[in-house]
Amino acid sequence: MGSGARGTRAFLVVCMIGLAWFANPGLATPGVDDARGGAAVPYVQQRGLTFTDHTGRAVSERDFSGRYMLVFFGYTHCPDVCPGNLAIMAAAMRELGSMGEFVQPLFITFDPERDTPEVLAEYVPHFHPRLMGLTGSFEEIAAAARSYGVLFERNDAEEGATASEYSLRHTARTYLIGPDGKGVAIFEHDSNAKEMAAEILGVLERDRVLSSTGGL
Amino acid sequence: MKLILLSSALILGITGCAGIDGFRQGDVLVETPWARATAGRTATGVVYVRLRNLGAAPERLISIATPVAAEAAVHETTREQGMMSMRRVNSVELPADGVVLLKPGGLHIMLMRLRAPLEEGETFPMTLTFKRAGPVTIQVEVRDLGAISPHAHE
Repeated sequence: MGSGARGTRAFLVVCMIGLAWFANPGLATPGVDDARGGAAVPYVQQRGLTFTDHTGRAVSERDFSGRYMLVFFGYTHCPDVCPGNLAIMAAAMRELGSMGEFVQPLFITFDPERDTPEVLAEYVPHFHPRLMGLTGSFEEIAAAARSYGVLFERNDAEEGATASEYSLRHTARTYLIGPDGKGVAIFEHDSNAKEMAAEILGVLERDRVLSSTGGL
Repeated sequence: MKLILLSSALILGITGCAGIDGFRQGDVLVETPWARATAGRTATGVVYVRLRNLGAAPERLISIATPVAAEAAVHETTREQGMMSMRRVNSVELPADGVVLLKPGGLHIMLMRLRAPLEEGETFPMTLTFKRAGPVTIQVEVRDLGAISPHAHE
């Protein structure tokens, strides 16, 4: 189908933009951040980063190859933005119904100091029974965040609070990653769950059409 | 038995309608206050609410207090260069005959230094003080951490 070929070409262009973006260490390019719809989708390298999930099990980025991932980076002490986006992600997963089984929802913390597997185990089930929480060494998390174009920065604790009560400023996008580890779609902060589900469904349907006709 | 079930359903129904959905003081109506449950040792909570000014003059929310936290204040989630950040808002203006919605991802009440975790299902008091109407004490319902809205089915 012609539209499929066009879609693939558009996707390749987006990947190239993503690569260019990834190659540029100054990730906070205003033009990229402000782009909507045509936002650059990151290329996620399969470089074998390892994390610990909320059950204490070691997981590698490679464990997810062959599966779609819906990924949000955040931290459990985040009062408004992170639970809001995770709730939207969970609502989109519910909206997908049985098609949701093809998608692994992931919450990756960029606050490993406080977000231990035990803390994540208390947190993730509130959103979705299949949401997996990932923590790890600061270096590996920072490397993962970099590959997605995720930015985060620690604020000082507020006056009157103890030093451990710091908050973070951060990007708040949700990423759909394809079975090949490449970015497929980006959803901005505070997206609509129904629209997110519809876009994911569109990707799943498109990919299934491509594989059943033997690709291009 | 049927009668008992019917009457308890009726009582539950009535409690639901006349429950904690709205709190009025003067021309100010504070509606559907809810908080997100907190997990683990998180010391920061959040409350969302709808503020309605029924009066013909502008109104202003000037302070907030609750026994569950050392400090409560309105914050606004803003986006700067793609990063989500929060800034404190010293007062919230309610236009005449207007509504201000405090909701996820926008204006919200931050509870700082919580004295205990907020557990789903519990309620706690909070006093909002308005410039004209004065203080109004509301009951905030704690909803699941994964909630998006004050209503269970949205």
